[in-house]
Order: sequence, then C-alpha cells, then structure tokens
Amino acid sequence: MKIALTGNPNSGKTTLFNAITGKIEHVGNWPGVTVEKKEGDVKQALLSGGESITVVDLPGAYSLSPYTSEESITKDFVVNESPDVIVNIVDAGNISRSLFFTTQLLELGVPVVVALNKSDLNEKKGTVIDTLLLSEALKCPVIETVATEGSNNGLASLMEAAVGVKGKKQSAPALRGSRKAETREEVEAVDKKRFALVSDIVDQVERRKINSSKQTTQDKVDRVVAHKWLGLPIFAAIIWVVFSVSQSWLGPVLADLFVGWIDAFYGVVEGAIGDNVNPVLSSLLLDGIIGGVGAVVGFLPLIMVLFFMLALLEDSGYMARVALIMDRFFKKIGLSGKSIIPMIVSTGCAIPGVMATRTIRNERQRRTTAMLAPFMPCGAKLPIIALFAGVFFNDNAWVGTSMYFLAIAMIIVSGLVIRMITGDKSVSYFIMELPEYRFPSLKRAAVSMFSRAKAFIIKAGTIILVCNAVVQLLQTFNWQFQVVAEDMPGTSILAALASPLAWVFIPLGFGLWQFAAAAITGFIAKENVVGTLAVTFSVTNFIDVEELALVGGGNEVMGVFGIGAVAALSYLVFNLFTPPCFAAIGAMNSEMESRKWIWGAIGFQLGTGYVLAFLVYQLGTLFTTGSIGSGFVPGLIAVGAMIVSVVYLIHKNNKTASEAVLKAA
Amino acid sequence: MTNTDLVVLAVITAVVGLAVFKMVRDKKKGASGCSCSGCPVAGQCDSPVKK
Repeated sequence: MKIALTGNPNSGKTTLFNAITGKIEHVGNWPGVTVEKKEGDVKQALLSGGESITVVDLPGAYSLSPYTSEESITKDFVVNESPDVIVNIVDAGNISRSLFFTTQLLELGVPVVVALNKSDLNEKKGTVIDTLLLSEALKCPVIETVATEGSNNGLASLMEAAVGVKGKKQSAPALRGSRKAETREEVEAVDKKRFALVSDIVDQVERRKINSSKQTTQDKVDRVVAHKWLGLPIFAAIIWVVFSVSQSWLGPVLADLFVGWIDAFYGVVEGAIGDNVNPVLSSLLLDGIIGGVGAVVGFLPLIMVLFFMLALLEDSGYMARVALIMDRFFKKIGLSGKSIIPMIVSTGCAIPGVMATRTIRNERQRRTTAMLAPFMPCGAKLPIIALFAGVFFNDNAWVGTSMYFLAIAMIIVSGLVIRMITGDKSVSYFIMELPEYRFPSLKRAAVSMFSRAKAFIIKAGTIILVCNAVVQLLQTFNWQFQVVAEDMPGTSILAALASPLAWVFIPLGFGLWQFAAAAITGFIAKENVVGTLAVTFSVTNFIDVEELALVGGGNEVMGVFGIGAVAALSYLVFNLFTPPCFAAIGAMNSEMESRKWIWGAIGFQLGTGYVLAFLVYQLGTLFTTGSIGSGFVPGLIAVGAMIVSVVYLIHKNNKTASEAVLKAA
Repeated sequence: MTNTDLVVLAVITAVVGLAVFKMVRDKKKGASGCSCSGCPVAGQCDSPVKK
C-alpha cells in the first residue's frame, strides 16, 4: 500500500513523515524545506494489521496548478503514480487557506484522509474545529494529529483511517465546472467558486476566540525582530551569540575533551606498533590517517554546538523572519527573499542549499542563487574557520560572525554584478507565510545535530581519510619514489605538484606549497584543508589539551604555519569564497542546466575568492605594517584583469541589449 | 619487512580499502560522491533531479 503525504508548505508534512517512518529527514519551521519527494515505510508500532505501508513525502503545494517545480513534483506524483490513499496534512491553525488544495485533491477520485495537524496549537489559542462536521463536508475522514508529540499524537488513528479508506471511491463537494475548466478564465471562475466553498465550510466548522484584527504578542515581537532597521542588527547579534557559544565558550571545552580521546587513541596505536616499524608505514598510519582525520574530527564538538543552535533558531520560526529582513536588500539586486532560504540551508551543506533554489521560478534568479548560495559558510568550512580563529585570533567569535556577514555582503555585491552582466532587470515580489513562533524543541535540535554529526564522521572516515592517506604518501616520496629526507619536504611529489600554484598565491600572502596543496584538496571536500595542513605541517593536534582551548596566538602552530594573522585571514577568505567542493559544483550544474552558467559560476567564484583574499592581505598588511605586502604588482595585474573581464561582459551585454532595441525599433 | 610492518600495512590497507569500498558502494547506489549517506538531507541529494 502506498500513501502520498501532501499539503501546503510548512504544514508539518516532513515532521509527520519522520514521526510515522522513524526517519530523520531535515525539517524546518518555514515553507520550502522539502523540494524533492522522499519515501519511507510506516513503523510497525503504528499498524494494527499486517499490511506494510510505504509513505511518500511530497514537497508542499498550494494547489494542483503548479507554479514552481517542486509543486509540479507533487502534482505529477498524485496524478500519475496513483497512490492508494492521499493523506492531506492540513495546518489546523489555518484551515481556510489549506482546504483550497484539499478540495482539489478530493476531485482526483483517490481516497483522501485529512490530518488536522498542529491541533495542540489550536487548543492553546482557544480555536475549536468540529472535525465531524468537517469530515461530513469534505466527505472524507478527518483525524487530529500532533506530529511533534511522541505519544497521543493521533498518528495510529491516522494510519488506521488510511488503511480503512483504501480501495473506496472518493467523492468531492460539488463544484460545477471544475473538471472541464481549461482556459484561464474558466480556471479563475472555478477558483472563485472554490474559495467560496472553502469559506462556507470554515464558517460552519471553526470557532475562533482570537480576534484576528487585534495585534497578538507574535505581531509585537515581529515589529521589533523584523523591523526595517532593527532587524539586521538583531540578526547580527544573534549570529554573534551563536558563534560565541560554539567557537569560543562551550565548543572549545567539548572539543578539548574530544581531542583528549583522539590523542589517547594516537598514543595507544603508537605504543602498540613500537619503534621497530618501517617509518614510512608508521607515519602513514599515525600522521596521515589518525593525525589527519583526527585534526578534522577534533572540530566536531564545535560544529555540533553550532548546528544545535542553528536548529533551535530554525525551529523557533526566526529564520523565516530573516528571509523577510533580507528581502529588502535582495530586491535591490534583482533577487528576492526567496533566495535567502537556499542560503540559510547552505549553512548546513551547500548541496541541498543549491537544490533548494528550484523553488525560484525566475531562471536568472534561480541560477544566480545557485551560484551564490555556496558562499555561505557550510558545515565543511567551519573547521577551517575554527582552526584559523583559534590559531591566529584567540578563539574570537567575531571571526566566524564576520565570515557569515561577509558572505551575505558578497552575495549582495555579486548578485548586483551578475544582474548587470545578464542585463535582466526583472523584479520579483516575495510572499511568504510567516510561521508562528514556538518554543524550539530541544529534541528536534538534538536529532538534527546528531544526524549532521553522523554525516560529518562518515565523511571524515571515508573521503577525508583517503585524501589524507594520499597526501601523506605524496609527501613522503619524490618523483624517483625515494623517501624524502626529513629536512627536505620541498622535494616531495606533493610539493612539486603544489609549488607552481603557490606562486599564484604570493600576492595573497600564503605562497607556500603546503597552503596550495590544502586549497587543492579542499575542492574534494572543504574539511580536507584542515586535514592537509595537519599532514603537511606535521601538526596532529590543533587543540591544546592542557590549555583547554584551541591553540592560540603565539602558539607553536602559528610558528609552524609561518604566516601572520593578516595572511591567515586572507587564506580563510580565499577558501570560503572560491568554488565549493566538487559535489556542490555537481549540484550547481544540475540546477543551472547551462554549460555557460556553470563555467561562468566557477570562474566568478574563483575570481571572487582571489580578489577578496588579495584585498584582505594587501590592505591588511598596509594598515598593520604601513607598507604593501609581497607580490602586490603581479597580484594587482591579475585582479585588474579579472575586473576588466567583468566590465567587458557588462559592456557586451549592454551593447547587445541596445542593438536588440534598435532592431526592434 | 618485519612482522610488525606487515600488520601495520594490513591495517592501513584494510582501513583505506573499507573507506574506498563504502564510497564506491554509495556511488553505485546513486549517492553523491561526497559520501554524504549519513546526511539528513541525503535523500534530496541522492534523488535524480526532477523539474
């Protein structure tokens, strides 16, 4: 038996899907979290009979007339794949809007069960819905559910009702002309009748205590939090607190404890293999595999704390307000608040962030957002931020916060440049239903945190482990496959491969082959930057166990790296703004569907990273020492060439546009 | 090569081999190459893109 879960965006479909299948798909308290269908089997505990049930969680839709591609996934599945039963999740707090879609589903003839979700919120507000009357009006079972609750959540009754209606004929409230409507006028006429029908049903079944014309506490909070001028500083302060707790206070303490275990494991293995082992094998196992992976995994607690706090923010409903705050700025660059959602998702991982762009209808906006979303510091970039903040900036929270806001600023600037290059002056308007604030669930945040931690560990144990082993081997041998002398690491294969690139980085302040090698391996997975630095500089522990903190300024690691704080900031910026990992580039390619756009995006990201790092290093050196940094002239020529290329593209586009206007005239 | 060398070599081969095996298996399953099978949004990345 197959059940399709459908409903309006942010009605709680994925939360219900997770609750009935036991899966841990990502949920968020804003519309547009799900952009692709997902399948799972219903837990046996919820089934009274022996039948197994497969559930398909579909992206949210407001109607069966698709406006965005994820809505068409819903329509295609429901219409073409004929599920046995449709479970329509209706937000109990907003049935007047949800039932429009419900009445369309009823007309498909597939048995429908309505899950009146978030019913607990109605109890708190004093809103009463007569489910029996609603069931009669809709001609289908209506079950109250609270998908966020562990027990008494109505889910077993929902599954029972779904099994009960399987194979039965579904009738729908009479709505004349709905089946034959084809032209726009006909569809609009039917929609009007449908709205009237829904309004009638709501009047009959719903009794509200709250006067919607009165300002609620929520409205009062929004007046401050989503204020035109106050909204942005409040957002900055919140992000600063998140980075302070995760990178400066709680995170390092937990990380230190964790690194203590990694160190102990390193010691046990070192003791077990003894001194009589081949030094190449010994260093491959200890420094390459355990040291390299350990250096990355050591930052796991910091990342977990950060994800936990971001999950709390998501769950509270605040992040939807961020989209609203940013809409004002995004509109100026030809994007809209809708573009901020993929960017927020990208703070976890750029791949789903890029995929979330498919909710954007305008092609240029969708492609631009897919190009810019990877600028946000994703989970894989956090170890790099944490490492450099710890080594060079004394664990200061402003490093992470400023990277977050530098990313937003760069997105806005880049969006403007891309708009000028493409010449598309179209404007989009952003309409989003703001979810209600709620006290964030610690359980949901913990689940989100642990599932991301699991993903991080799997990645460290696979691709990062293999990369570090390869880096260690390439560093151990020269081109004649002889072991490189300990005091001559520059003669290794790795150094030979990375050195030509290191020249390019001299104007950016980090012209050492080790940094070049780390930047290259970072394209495979960004965590590799930390792993490769650990292997190439033979530093297996970036967290000081005795000091109970990340290694700080003046520490031996800083000396080993051989660069100053300004160059370190430049390297950090370079790694954050150059193209993301190959997997994310693949996702960008899928969403952009244009060779011109994907190569343009890679070139643009490379240019952005280079120009920013150049500015940070040269200006930073000028301010701190009074003179410009090394390699200024060649760097300026390279940066100048990039800027001229962008200006040429803008000019070329303007010329083409003018010619088109003249032709048309 | 001493016995200890052989044991260490076997451990390294096994660890790296397992990692590569998992990556290849994920790739064959249609998962993305970044080994994100444990990711909470892996379901989205692994599905073929539909428009």
